[in-house]
Amino acid sequence: MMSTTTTQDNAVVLDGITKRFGPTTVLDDLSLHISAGELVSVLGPSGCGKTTAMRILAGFEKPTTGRVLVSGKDLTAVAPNRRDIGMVFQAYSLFPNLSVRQNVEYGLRVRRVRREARRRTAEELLEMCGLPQLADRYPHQLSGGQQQRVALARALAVQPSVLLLDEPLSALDAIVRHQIREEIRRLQQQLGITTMFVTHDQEEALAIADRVAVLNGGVIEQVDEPRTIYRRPATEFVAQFVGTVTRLGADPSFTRGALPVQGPAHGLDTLFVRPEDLTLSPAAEGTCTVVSQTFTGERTIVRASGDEGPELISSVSAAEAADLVPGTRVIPHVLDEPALRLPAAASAAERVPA
Amino acid sequence: MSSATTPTDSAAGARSGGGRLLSRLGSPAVVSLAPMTLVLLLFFALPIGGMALIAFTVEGPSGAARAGLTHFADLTDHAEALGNSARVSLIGATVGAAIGAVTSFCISQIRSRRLDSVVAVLSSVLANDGGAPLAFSFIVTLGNAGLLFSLLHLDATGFSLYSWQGLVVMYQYFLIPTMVMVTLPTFAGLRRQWREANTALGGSSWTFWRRVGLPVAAPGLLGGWILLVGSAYATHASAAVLIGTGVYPLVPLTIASELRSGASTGGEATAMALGVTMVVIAVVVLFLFTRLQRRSARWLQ
Amino acid sequence: MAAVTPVPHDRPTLARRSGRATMWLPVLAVAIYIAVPLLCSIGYAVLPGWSFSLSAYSVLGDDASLLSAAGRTVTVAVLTVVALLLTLVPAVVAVHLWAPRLRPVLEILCTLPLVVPAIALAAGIVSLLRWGAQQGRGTLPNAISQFVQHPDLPLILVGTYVVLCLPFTFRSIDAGLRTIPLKAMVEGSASLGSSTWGTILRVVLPNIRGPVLFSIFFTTALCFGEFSVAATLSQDTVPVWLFTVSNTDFRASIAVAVLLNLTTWGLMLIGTLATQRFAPGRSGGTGGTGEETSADDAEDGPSPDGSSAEDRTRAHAPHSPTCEQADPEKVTR
Repeated sequence: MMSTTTTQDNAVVLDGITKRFGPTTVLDDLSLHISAGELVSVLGPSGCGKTTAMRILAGFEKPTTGRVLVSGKDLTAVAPNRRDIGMVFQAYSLFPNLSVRQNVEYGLRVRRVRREARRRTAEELLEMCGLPQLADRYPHQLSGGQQQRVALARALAVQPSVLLLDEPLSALDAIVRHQIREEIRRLQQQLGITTMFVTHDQEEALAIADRVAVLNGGVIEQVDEPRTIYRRPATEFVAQFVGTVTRLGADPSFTRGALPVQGPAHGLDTLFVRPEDLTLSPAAEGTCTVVSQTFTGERTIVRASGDEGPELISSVSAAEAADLVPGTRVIPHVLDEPALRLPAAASAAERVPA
Repeated sequence: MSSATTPTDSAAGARSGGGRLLSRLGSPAVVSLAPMTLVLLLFFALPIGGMALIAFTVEGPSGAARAGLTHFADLTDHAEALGNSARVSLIGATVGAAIGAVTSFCISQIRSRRLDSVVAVLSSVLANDGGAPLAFSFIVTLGNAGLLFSLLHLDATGFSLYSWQGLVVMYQYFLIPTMVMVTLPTFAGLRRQWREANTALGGSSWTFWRRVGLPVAAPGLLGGWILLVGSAYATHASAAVLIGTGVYPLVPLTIASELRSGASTGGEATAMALGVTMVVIAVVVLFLFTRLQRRSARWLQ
Repeated sequence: MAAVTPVPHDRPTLARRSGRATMWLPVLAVAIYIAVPLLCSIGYAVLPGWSFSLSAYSVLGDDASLLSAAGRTVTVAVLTVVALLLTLVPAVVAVHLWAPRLRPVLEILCTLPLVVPAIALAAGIVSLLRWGAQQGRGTLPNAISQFVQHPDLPLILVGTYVVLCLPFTFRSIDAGLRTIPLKAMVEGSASLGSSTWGTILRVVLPNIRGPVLFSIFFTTALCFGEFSVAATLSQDTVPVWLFTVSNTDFRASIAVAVLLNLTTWGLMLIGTLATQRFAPGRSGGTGGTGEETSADDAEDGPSPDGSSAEDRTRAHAPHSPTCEQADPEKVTR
């Protein structure tokens, strides 16, 4: 039944979207392309405009300038209830007076689908979302995770051309969050539905998406595959917001190897180094001192600090960690090309906001 | 205790039990709750109990008192008062609930924080109004010599403040604010997500109200209406000042006048029987109201 | 859903704006309905024959019966406030601290007077007092009946008014105690070596200042305005005096009624504002209606998106007009 969505090209284009509320500019000339069947997660801190972008796509907000296109059609002026978009909200969006089944059937009912067909679709979707036994319950009898699954089923029931997920996991606890994340991804791939997933959780964004768009202050900083976002952040903001980095100053001639530790300063390149690219080797003449160890299971995070330099964060195996008890003098090595290198001139200018 | 327990054991047990009871009596919880219990007992339970006792006590032919429903059967003499009260409270509550619900819906839609706090304060103040001064202000406004009465030539319409119409109009003064106070949280509790989910699923605003908005608000609205019926039914002070006695009998007015006529004429027992009916109605109202509120709260949580 | 119906770009905003204006109509209508009788009363009291005069208020100084009624009313009000606080506050604190299972019971008991009509309660009290009086001179019930009805100090009114005030004051104080971590506070204070009573005096009471103030003002307002019980028990308080004097000097009764009305409204206003002012944290707990705040308060987790978040997009959007939720969860970096 769900095959219809893949037959047409449901690509989404946000074209030069600017949104102002009074004097504040929330989105500034934002352009984003989501290919048919692709899941793009929009990642950013609170207030970066990511939810506004989604609401503009859904039609709940009008862009000040710019266009919204789905399947090549300009939807900018189309009312939200005619846009054929499925939406899952953060929480509490199920209609409390309707049973799970009635919630899932709601969109079909609005579309005057016959009762038999409605019922079949609802059963099918509840089955897919792993909730067939809850059809006659009411939302207040469900756990948060179950509620979000029903919300997903409800949004998918109308076979929307685009699925919008507005931080759907943020109200759930960690275990359920992981489970449902996997399920959303599975369903999305199975149905081949074009999806925008808004989140502030970088781990979630990287784990679920085909591509990640990092948004900051109403501007897209980078759109890329998760691996690229992590390994090759385009800007200082992306490097710092996604994953953990150590920010170091280094001579422009430095490439890799043992590093004279210094903070970012004038005339130096600024390096952003991932913990797994930074090792700390114990040495009596070391320039840094281990400050703490945090055991996280597979890896151990070791923090060290230079005598007058910055804090270093390294991820090491348990065996290596044994040699790095707090107080140990160490020499830092950069193993690989740093995630991001800002040349001397640029880094001086970029440093101001940090 | 098993049968094998020796007498001394059980005696010791009883002693320590008594000791525990004593120490419990001195515990801070008991000390703190005692005055409250005493006041409720003396000024609430005892009067209501006494009232019920008199209402259900019938003098037998030999002069001996026994339980009976004669006083309630006699209430058919006061059918007019009962009918009037029912009429005024049902009509008044329906009008008040309709206006109050529309008003609180509009307030919830306006979404002005300042308006919300003004309404919160005013509605809780006005909901407790209903005393003698209220009647006075309506007499000078809509009474036969009232300012608005002559201004609008209401005499031509046949309107009279001293009839059920007047009572209904006057009662709105505290019924509407009560309704606003009770239903504002209901309307404010309708989540934006529901409206947007409806829109995203293709529904219109009408679809939303028909399938979600009104059904969710319904228990709150119904509960509010029931509370208004009870409140209008129980109102005495303003009605007493406006109507006085006789012209348009109501249950509360009849209780007052029967009490005044004294025990000798049997008026007291009638008053008590009427009082019992009022209490019963009040308890039913409270029960239904809390049931509906709970349901509404579960949906709006 | 291929049907794509374009709508003019600015229509929703226009519709919303005109919708907003329509929304004000019922509110304004009700406001006018509320204001007119009050304005008419004021006009009637101070504009006899369309010229300003305060002559109607001369009764305030002249009428000895009004003075004695006012004195009686004030005495009753003061005693009622004291009695109410001394009975209610310990009881509510006690159920919160030591007997949470009794809380629903206390709640029901304290709510019942709300629905039991004052006139019915008055009738019950009359029956008790008459029964006492019938026991003949010299008997204890007779003496008690006489004592509590003494016109100088009508204790029967005090007790009854305490009961009548319970529904609203209980809710207020109960709501106030629910917003503070009472148990943790008391245990914390006890672990620092404070006695139970000391803790309650120093820690608990200051935290329910708002509800206590509300209770004081509410109770005073009720005592100043209550008619049914006082009239039925033939106690001459100000509202009863009003009723009596309206037969002879209507303008004076209106004048005093306006004064009384404004006083009670003022007291209730102060009381309600006091609750909001002193509410710990947010400005919830609007006195009389304890449960109404729960709707949004109950919402926990990283979703503070109550109904209020909507004003931001709708109104002029102060700082952060996006609908982003403030996330308490720290962003990993």
